[in-house]
This record gives sequence, structure tokens and C-alpha cells, in this order.
Amino acid sequence: MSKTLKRTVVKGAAAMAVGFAVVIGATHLLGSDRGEEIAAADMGAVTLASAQMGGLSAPDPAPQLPAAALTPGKTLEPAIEIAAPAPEATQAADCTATLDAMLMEGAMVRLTVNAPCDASARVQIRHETLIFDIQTDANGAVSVDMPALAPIAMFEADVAGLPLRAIAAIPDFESYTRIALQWQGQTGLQIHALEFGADIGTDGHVWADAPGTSLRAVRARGGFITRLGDSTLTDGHAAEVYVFPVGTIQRDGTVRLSVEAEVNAFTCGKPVEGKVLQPGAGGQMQSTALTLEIPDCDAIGDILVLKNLLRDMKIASN
Amino acid sequence: MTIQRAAVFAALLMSGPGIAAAEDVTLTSRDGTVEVSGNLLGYDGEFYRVDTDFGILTLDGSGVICNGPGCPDLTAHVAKFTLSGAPAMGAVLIPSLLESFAARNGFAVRRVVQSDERFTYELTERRSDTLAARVTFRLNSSDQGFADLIGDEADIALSLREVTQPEAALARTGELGDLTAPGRSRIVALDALVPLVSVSNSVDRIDMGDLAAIFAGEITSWAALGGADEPILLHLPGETSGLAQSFVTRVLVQYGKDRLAEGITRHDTNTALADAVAADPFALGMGSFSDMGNAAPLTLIGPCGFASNATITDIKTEDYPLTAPLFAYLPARRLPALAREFLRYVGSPAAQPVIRRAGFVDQFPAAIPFQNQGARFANAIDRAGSEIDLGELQRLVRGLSGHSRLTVTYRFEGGATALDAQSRSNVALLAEALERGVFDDRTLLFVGFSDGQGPAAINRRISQTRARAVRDAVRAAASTVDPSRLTLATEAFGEAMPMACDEVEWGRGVNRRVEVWLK
Repeated sequence: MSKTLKRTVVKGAAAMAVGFAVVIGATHLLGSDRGEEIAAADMGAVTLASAQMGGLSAPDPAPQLPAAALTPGKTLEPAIEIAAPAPEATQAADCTATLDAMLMEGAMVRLTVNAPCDASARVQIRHETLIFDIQTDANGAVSVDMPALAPIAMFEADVAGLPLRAIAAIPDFESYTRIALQWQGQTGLQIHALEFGADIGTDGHVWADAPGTSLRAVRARGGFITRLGDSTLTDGHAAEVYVFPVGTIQRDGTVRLSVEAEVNAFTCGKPVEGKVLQPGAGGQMQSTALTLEIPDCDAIGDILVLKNLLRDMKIASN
Repeated sequence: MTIQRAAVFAALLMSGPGIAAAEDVTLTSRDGTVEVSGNLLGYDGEFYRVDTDFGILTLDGSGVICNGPGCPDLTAHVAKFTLSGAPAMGAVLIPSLLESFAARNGFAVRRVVQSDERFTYELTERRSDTLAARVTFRLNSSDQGFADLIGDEADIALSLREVTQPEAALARTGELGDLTAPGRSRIVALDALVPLVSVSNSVDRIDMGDLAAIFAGEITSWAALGGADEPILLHLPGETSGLAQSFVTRVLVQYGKDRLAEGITRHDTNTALADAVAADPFALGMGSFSDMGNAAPLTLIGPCGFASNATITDIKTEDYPLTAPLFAYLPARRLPALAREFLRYVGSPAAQPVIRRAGFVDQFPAAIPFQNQGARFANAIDRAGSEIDLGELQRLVRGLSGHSRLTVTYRFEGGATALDAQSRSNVALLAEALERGVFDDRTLLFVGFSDGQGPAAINRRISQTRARAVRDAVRAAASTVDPSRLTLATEAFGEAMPMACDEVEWGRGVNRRVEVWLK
């Protein structure tokens, strides 16, 4: 059983089905008396590298999704407890807030915030200089799937001033290339990707209304866009990330990237602050602060199209 | 010198009855003995430019103290400069270089955008969080870039072509001096003019003469090129584009065409042209190597069958005939210190990966090993005739074996001995590499070649003269080099290894060259 567990760890996201099978075994383990195996399964069940207080006792597995307990991404890093500056506190706290990072396919990570005492609270997620704001539900929970922007992805969630941290290792990070646009407020900003000469509105035109899914990228058909941030939050940070399977795609050509900014009543005549993240000369993500001067209010309804803000992706399959 | 003279006049003036009224600044030397007053024209962080009664004076800021309402705030000095010109250079290449330069030098970067053609970069020093520079971009065309430089609306002109005679004449009437002088322009990177078609077009090569005839409207159907009997739909960049102008001069005029065909679709950007061509199986456009998008390039062929492809190496060596250097033209006055540092960075080895990543060709000398050039030697043998005999071919092979060819190659303008723009830049490049010690204890062989017109013996002698001239120019430019550390030798093989067809002028231009081989 433990051997299966290890193999799941190594194979990462692809082993979800196996993961489910092992869940049954693991629950079995928790119930059994074998100390060491319990510890291994425990590591899987506990949110790694989070600021969980009194975290060493086995939490009740019932409220947590079984699949989450055996996340390959998490169990890969038992050594990285240094990322969790959790003070040793007494076990108490219905109000224990946790951040969970679960590896998904397409170099994506599912972040889950559980903050039982912070219902409908604003949460700011920070990852590699990208920032966006979301909101917990009535139970103080919120979950978001986001693309990882680094091979060792560190996430920070700020819930009512309390920073929570989580980390995930992304084994297939290099297979994808990504570009991100971040802003604040109701800006109507959008990334548009035209893949390999696709016309507007066709299959290769990826944007907010036709974002694609990570499956499209995993299958090396093309890229996809993830929109991050809650648009109902005033002055909330939001972002779009376009991910493209540069390592597996079998075509040569260019992906044209452009940014469209709608001139609306919120933004007309004012500057929109934001950030562009795109690969620099060495390949790592480079961040450039951005101020967009939106045209005046007599141009409401117009769309400002920027074709040179995001560098086009030139793909050469090998 | 200037200050002393000014001191005398200033002393005289001050002793006279009250001079004219409020002046902007008064610059006093630190020992108080010299004083200059006038209107401040500019302060670049190092030097004051003051309009005084004796004319415009430039004074070293570290030697004087400024008093008066016009004095700049020394602690908050922000370097400001404007780049104006070709979108092909300003859209991606220069901003990428600026972002990279900023990252290397501890600056945070903010891009303030009004549109794709008008934006400003703000560089803030990270440590002190102070604004250090504001770099404004105004992108329109090469034509507009020169106009802005001449009209003092811009500090640097970005151009896809060299300055024209009328523009240079206009510049001379103002403060810009001689724009054609060396040092007034830099080659930032290399691009090339490439004929583009859609990937679904079966035609993959084109004779340069046919290309000229097609754009002149003389050939109108793909059938003439071995394709379907369908009309050829033509695309070019806008009339003010340096690339379009370059195409007309180097291809159409060369073949004696004096007008363009009717109904050519013009595009504001190379991107738009490439995308339009890629979408239409009957389109033919002149695009750029740096942005072929999803279109396919055509191989250029000459009447004798030699083929030229636009590849990074062939553009660097200028073996591809339609290379297009990207120029930055500079004003006569000093630019702010940060601008000068940026230009230095752009010419340095550190900037070359950024240039490549942006899709352009960098100029850095690369070495092509002897064994990778089999095709060239095979051609030489194939074309050997009565004038190039076995003995000469063996001399060629023996002379070059054990050496690698450097991508630095020299070509000439107008058939004479004047180097063309890319080659003039190559003299400085090679000299700089020598000064940096890259080739210490190695042998550099300057090898002259010629076209095939005229007797072989005379061609060999001409190519020897050219090889020596280039070698001497490089040696003169590398003035700080210790001569004992280098061997700069020459050799000449005349018409022995042609690279293009002698039947056409552009082919002869490709053949007339001095290569540099390294041992």
C-alpha cells in the first residue's frame, strides 16, 4: 500500500485515478495501528506549509475531500516545512485558517482557503508578484484554480490581515509558457490570443468569452486563459493568465497577443494601474508595472487595443 | 578655456552699468573666481548648457555652483529623452532592451501607455525609490523619426534605412551637424526584407528579377512562377516605412522599374502584413524576417541557380542580399548619462540574447567551422572553369582549412571600395572585440573575394587590395590593442568562390566581399 502511495507521489497529477483508489487504502491506514504509515498518510492529509496552529494532531479527515488528502504535489515536499512559520500553539481554534495548494493538470494549482470565522471576507492571493482578490463564502471557504508561475510555486493568502502560505512543486512547469496581465478595479481589460493565424471568433481565438480549458493545453491543442479575481469586489485586484503548451505543441508559428481595454464609465479619462508578467530574456517571468491612460469619457464604448504590450509568442516545435 | 575667456568678459560686463534684466541661472566656479550668467537650456545630470551673451556654453556641473530661479534640482534630476521613428524598432525591440537594461541596473520599470504608438517608460531606482529617467516613445515611421530629430522633437531617431541626402542637408542647417558622420548612427540589430507567402502556397522560391517585375505590375499571375493561374495579390508596408522605401530602392530601381503596380495593399505594421499574407493563398508580400508571423518565406534565387535564404547566419554575414540594419541616429549634443549608458548596453554582449529573443538578428561575431561550409566549396568546384583551375582551388582549400569563418563580413557600396553601413559597423565591432581580447593569440585572416566580371588575375588583385584595406581599417580602429598579441593577415582568391549569380548586379554585390577567418 505504501509503495502505491509513493508512486502516486512521483507521478503527480496524472495519477488522480490511482489516487482515488489509494484513498480507500489510506483511510484504512489511518484506522490501523501501523505508526509509520500513519505518519506518511498524515502528511498527506495535513495541509503542508500552512500557518495552521496546533497542526500535528491528526485532523478529522471527514470534512476534507479525500482526493485532497493524497495530493501528489503536497506530499512531494515533506521537507519544506520551513515555509510555514507556524508557531506551536495549543490545539484550539475553530477559527484556524488554512490555505491548501493542490496540484492540477496543465501546471495549475487549486488553492483552497478555509477560514471558518471569516465568512464573506476579502482574501488577497499573492503569487510571484501576481495579486488578485477573492471573497470567502458564508462558511469562510473559497477555492480558485490558478496557473503556477514558477516551478516551485509559493502562494500567500491574506485573510483579514493574517497571511497563510502554501507551496507546490510543478513537475511539468517547463512544458508551458505563460503571460499574465493584472489590474485593479472594473477595467474591462482582456487578453486576446490569436493562435497560429486564427481569425477572430474562431477556435484559435482565446479570450475571456472563449477561454478554453487546461485540458486543451494538456492535449497540446492550444492555450487557455484563466481569469482570476472577484469582479464584484470594489477596487479588487484581478488578473488574466494565458498559458500555452510550448513544450508539447506540434505546430510552428506565432501566437499574437493583444490587450483590449474597454472605455467605460468607471475608467474613462483615468489611469488604470496594473502589471504585466511575461518571460524575459533568460526565460524567467519579468514583471513590468503598467499605467494605462484610458481615453476620455466622450469615447465611452470604444475599445483601446494594444498589440505591443504583450510580446507575441514565437513557437518552433522541435 | 571657455570659462577663463568668459571670466574676462564677465568681469568686464559686471563692471559696466547695469546689464539686462533677470537671467535664469548664474554658474559660479567653486573658488568663486568665475561667473557665467544666462538662460539655462538644459542640464543632463552632468553638464549645464547655458545661453549666454557669448553664445551657448557647456559647463561641467561638477565644477560650478548654480544660483537663480532656473537652477535644476540636483538631487531629483530625472533623465528625459525621446525616441521617435519606426514602429518595427520601437514596438518590441527597444522596450525589451530598456526593460532588460533596467533590470540589470537596479531600476524598477513602469510603462505608461496611451497607445501602441505613444508610451513612456519610467525608470525608478529601486534602492532609493527615486525616479531616474523618463523615456518617451513616439512611433510612426522612419521618415517621422528623422523629422522629429531634425526638428528637435526627439533625441534619438529609430530608422529602418539610412538618412537621405535631403534629410542630411536639412540637419546640417540646424544644430545637428553631419548626420552621415560615423558615430552619429548606430546599428542596433539586423533585420531583413523577406518575400512572404501563405503556407498553403505551393511556390517556395522566387527570382529577384521576377520579384521586381511582379511589384512593378509586369507579372500578374502565379502561373508565371509555376503556381496556379490566379492573380497575385500584393502587400507592402506603408509608403513612409523605411522597409518599403528600402525595397523600392534595392529591388525595383535595380531592375530599372520606375513605378509600382496598382492595387498594392499597404499595412501600418509588419505584423499586419504578415497576418494578411498568411491568411490568403494568393498573397505575396514583402515582410521582415523579425516578424514573419504565420506566413512562409520564399527563397531568393538568381538566374544561375544560386539560392539565398533569410537565416540568422546569412543575415549576419550579409550573404542574404536584402539585409536591413536597424539604425539609431543620435544628436550632436550630449545625451543624458542614462541614455548614453543604455546605448552602451545595447551594443554590449549582454544585450544580444534580448535582441535574439525579440526575433531580430544580433551582430555578434559567431564562428562557422570549416566543415560546415561544404556546400560553398562544392559550388566552387562545380563552377570552376578555365580561369579558376585546380591549382587555385587547392590554394583556396589549403589556405582556409583549419580556420573558421567569422560571421563578420565586409561588403561594398556601389561597386567601389566604400563599405556599406553594416560593414562600417562591423569594422567597429571587430575592433572592439580585438580590444576586449577575444582574439588574443589567434590569427585573423582577411580574405578578399570578387565578382566574376573581367579577368581572374585582375579580380584576384582587386580582392587583395580590398582585403588589405579592411584589415588596415580594423587595425586602425582597434587603437588600444597591443600589436604583438594579434596576427592580422590577408589573403585573396578573387572569383574563386562565388556565392551568388554574376549575371545580376545584386549577385555581383554579394560576391564582392572580404571575409574574416579565424585560426
